[in-house]
Amino acid sequence: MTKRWIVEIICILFIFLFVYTAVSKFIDYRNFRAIIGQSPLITKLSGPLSFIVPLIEIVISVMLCLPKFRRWGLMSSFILMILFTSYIVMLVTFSPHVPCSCGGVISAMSWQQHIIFNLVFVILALVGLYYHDKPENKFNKKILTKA
Amino acid sequence: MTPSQLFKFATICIVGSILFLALLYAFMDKPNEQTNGFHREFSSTEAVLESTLHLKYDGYYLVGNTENHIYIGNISVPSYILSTGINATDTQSISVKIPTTEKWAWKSARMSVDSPFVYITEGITPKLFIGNLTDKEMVPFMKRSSYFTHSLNISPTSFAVRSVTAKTRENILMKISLDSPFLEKNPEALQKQVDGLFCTDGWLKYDKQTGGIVYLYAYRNEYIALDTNLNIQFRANTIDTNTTAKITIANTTDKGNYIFSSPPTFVNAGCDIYEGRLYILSALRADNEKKTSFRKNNTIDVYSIKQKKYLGSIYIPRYNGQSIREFIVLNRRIVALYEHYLCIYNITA
Repeated sequence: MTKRWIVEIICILFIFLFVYTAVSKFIDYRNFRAIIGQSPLITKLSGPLSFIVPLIEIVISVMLCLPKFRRWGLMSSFILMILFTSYIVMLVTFSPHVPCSCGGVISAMSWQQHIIFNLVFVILALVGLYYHDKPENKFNKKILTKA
Repeated sequence: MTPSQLFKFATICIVGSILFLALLYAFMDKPNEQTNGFHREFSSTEAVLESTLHLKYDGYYLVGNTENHIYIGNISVPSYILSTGINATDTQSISVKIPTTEKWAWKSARMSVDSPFVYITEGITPKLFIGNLTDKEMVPFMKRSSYFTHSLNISPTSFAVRSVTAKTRENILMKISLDSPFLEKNPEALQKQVDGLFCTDGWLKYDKQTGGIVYLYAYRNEYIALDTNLNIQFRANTIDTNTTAKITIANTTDKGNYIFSSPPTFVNAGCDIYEGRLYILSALRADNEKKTSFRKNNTIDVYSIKQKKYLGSIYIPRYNGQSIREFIVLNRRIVALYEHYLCIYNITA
């Protein structure tokens, strides 16, 4: 039972995180687009990225809500967090003065705090994947085999 | 997921992400990797590091100098002056007294020392103070000033300032004086190329000896020579080929918030005038410069202002690999301010 609760809490945390950052990016769309344009690494993709990133965050949040797609949701969350974290590390290594564009309170963190924050979510995604094992299917299997 | 599946999945994702970022890095514009279309001439002048002063805190900036002393202020404490001798010895802390009866934007205050005079200015309220190094009492003056963003003291009764026009939101050079006419504008000096604000960014410098003012643009290869009434004497070009500012500005809110929307191409990173010569700290590598030399050194190009001629370039070795933030030329020396160090280099032919 606790396994299910752990996975539920992790999914809720991710849904909160992604909806929060996606909405703050949508609300301040022009600002978000300009800020990611300031980073030499992704300036050429700033147009499409400013739309795709929040969209992917919303899609993943929806996936995490639906039990059928939860596994995919957790895997995508892991990939997204790995991408964000490696991007921050590259930014800090090459151009430490580019501002953060994650939105809201996350922008107020220092680079070290931000990297730790991201790594926590990376680990949460792995933990979620480890404990998630589609209990409904197992239950159905047992019923069918008994009959 | 089983631990082994998890491990494979995690490894593939991490490796994939690193490859993706490496790909982005490969396609990234690296400004000083390609050629910029100009050559530099390095004379036999070598800059030798003579002395260093460690500055513990953040926010130091150069405020003035005499023949033997350098004055440094700090943006966090508007009343503070650090004075140091030309050998980085004989350092003294000086505190001036600013009357605190009225509200003013002290966080934006900037100091200027033209011994024995001390000036503190803040262009938002605006508020200007004058004092001297002997009694250290700052007194408000120039009460008929207008809003400005940068000020340059040119005499005990006047300042050349850079301000922003109210209607068109563009940079404009003005002169504010103690006596009538209190405000003189020169709207023709700074010429808009992209947005009028970011694209005309640059530095105002005054050469006491020749009585000339120079404005150097940050994003284009031009400097403007003006007299103390801000009449344009001439415009001249620096050696590089960027005639137009390569910047993009985005309007991010309907209330007029503007920011860069791509990495700006800096052409010049700072300057100083001394004895009729303009010394420019450059941000661009010349075609005949080795990439390693450019990375290890700060490059200063020297121009004769009157002759509008490029005279040559000097390498100032980077201290701890850092870039010079600002500098002054004093006799045969360059006093360079880094993030936490003041370095004094000797330049002898």
